[in-house]
Amino acid sequence: MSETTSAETVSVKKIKKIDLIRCFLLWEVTAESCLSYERLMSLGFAHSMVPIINRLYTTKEEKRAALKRHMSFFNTEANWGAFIPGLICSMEEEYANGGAVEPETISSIKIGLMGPVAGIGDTITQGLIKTVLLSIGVDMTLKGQVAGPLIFLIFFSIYLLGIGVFTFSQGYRLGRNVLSKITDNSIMRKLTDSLSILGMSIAGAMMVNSVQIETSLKIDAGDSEVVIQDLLNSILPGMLSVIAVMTSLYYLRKGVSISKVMLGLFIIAIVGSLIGVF
Amino acid sequence: MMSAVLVAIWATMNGGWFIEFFEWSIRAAPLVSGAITGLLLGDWQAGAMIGATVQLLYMGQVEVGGVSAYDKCYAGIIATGVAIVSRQSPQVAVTIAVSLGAIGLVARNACMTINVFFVHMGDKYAEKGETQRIWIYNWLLPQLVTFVFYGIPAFLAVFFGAQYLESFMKMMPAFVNRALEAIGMILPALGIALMFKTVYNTKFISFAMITYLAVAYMKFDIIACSILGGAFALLYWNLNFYKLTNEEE
Repeated sequence: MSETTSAETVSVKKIKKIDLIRCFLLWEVTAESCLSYERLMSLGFAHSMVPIINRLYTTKEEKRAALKRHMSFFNTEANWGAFIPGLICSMEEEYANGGAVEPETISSIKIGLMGPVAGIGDTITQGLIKTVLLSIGVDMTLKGQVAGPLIFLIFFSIYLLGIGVFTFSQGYRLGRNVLSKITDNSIMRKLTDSLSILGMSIAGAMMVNSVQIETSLKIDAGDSEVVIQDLLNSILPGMLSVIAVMTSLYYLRKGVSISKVMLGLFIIAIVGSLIGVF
Repeated sequence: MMSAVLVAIWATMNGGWFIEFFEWSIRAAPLVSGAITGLLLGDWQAGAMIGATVQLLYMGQVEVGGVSAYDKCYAGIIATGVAIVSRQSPQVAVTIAVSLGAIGLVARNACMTINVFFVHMGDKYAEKGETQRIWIYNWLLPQLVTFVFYGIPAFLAVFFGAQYLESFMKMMPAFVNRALEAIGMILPALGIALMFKTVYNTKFISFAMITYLAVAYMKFDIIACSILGGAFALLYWNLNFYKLTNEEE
């Protein structure tokens, strides 16, 4: 009995501290490097997970699955948002060791957290801290004290780095302390379902919140002109966005490749702008 | 010549996301980016004054999801560079910043559209199950695009003056800009669809419909929807709906 226990502890895949540090540094450098209209911070997130993936997974199949998992749409505020990669590190660790965590749980957590964290982060970082520090810096500079920009830079950097390190480590710690305690598979399934509900709710909201497709088409009807977008809004607000997302989802679920769907949308956008629909 | 090259390099570093952390602390504040531009051109004080004046214009703007009303690199760095080299007052610099900041949005659109292809190249690379070259797709290639849309215009603007850049922009057919805007408007649909696919569960489709209604008709923001979604998740958990939905299995 004791032999099996010791054998198990040997085979446990553990993230080392250096991996967490590298993950955090990558996040601080490349999180938004490849910001794109399609998936925003997706590639950045996958990139910062590379040290973790290399530590936890050995086979190509596992690495591929892990990378693809983190290539999905992701967008948050990068400073408070460091909480999410921190938490995901601990979840990946659980999953790699055959814990109750499942890939769907990981995806749902990311989707469920990115919105609220960005909301908090944008409000506090940009709306509050930056505005206060900037008004001090600008005031000093305009009064002739040329160190104003430097003052702002130093204090804002301390704040950014402090928040980043704090949220990242807290995220990891939270995952270690809470998730690793859940060993019962039925409870984990329940959690996965609950998170899936959260994810579906956010996705439904982002369908019209993050996608804002509007037509600029107008029809001249004698004296008055009919604005098509107003007409569409009176039928169903955000109708074009919903149609675009649902059609893309339909084809993706049918197994059509992402590139083909993207090409289709590209053509619609270019042709649409040429004939004056957008 | 030398100053144009310096501003071009500095603009490339701050156009995209060369180092995430500095984009927050330097690029995001024309006060700082302008002062450093001044330092590169040998006049920290002028840069700081111009940066502070430009900053006043954009005070308190919250950028959500990378969407901004002006381009910070064009307004904060290129405009400051142009103003210092042509020895303009901070007040004139502000007008340059406003027009360049608007032009810069085209550069931002172009970068974020082209980056889509790098994400797809990253997708293909991930299929191999390797991780060593992810940095090329995520970091290196976007920097090259940034150089084209930020570095080169910065060089031209500082070397020939801002008017040169503006007249060049006027030469560009209007439909290119319109097409870029349309792409930027439509492509997020694919991103959200991909996200949808990862959490998709037919038995929970009703929750997506409810939050859609909340946003479309009741103008809920994303935080309100997160609370709503969290409430649904808690209800599901606490009332043990789990047993109901999984009964048939």
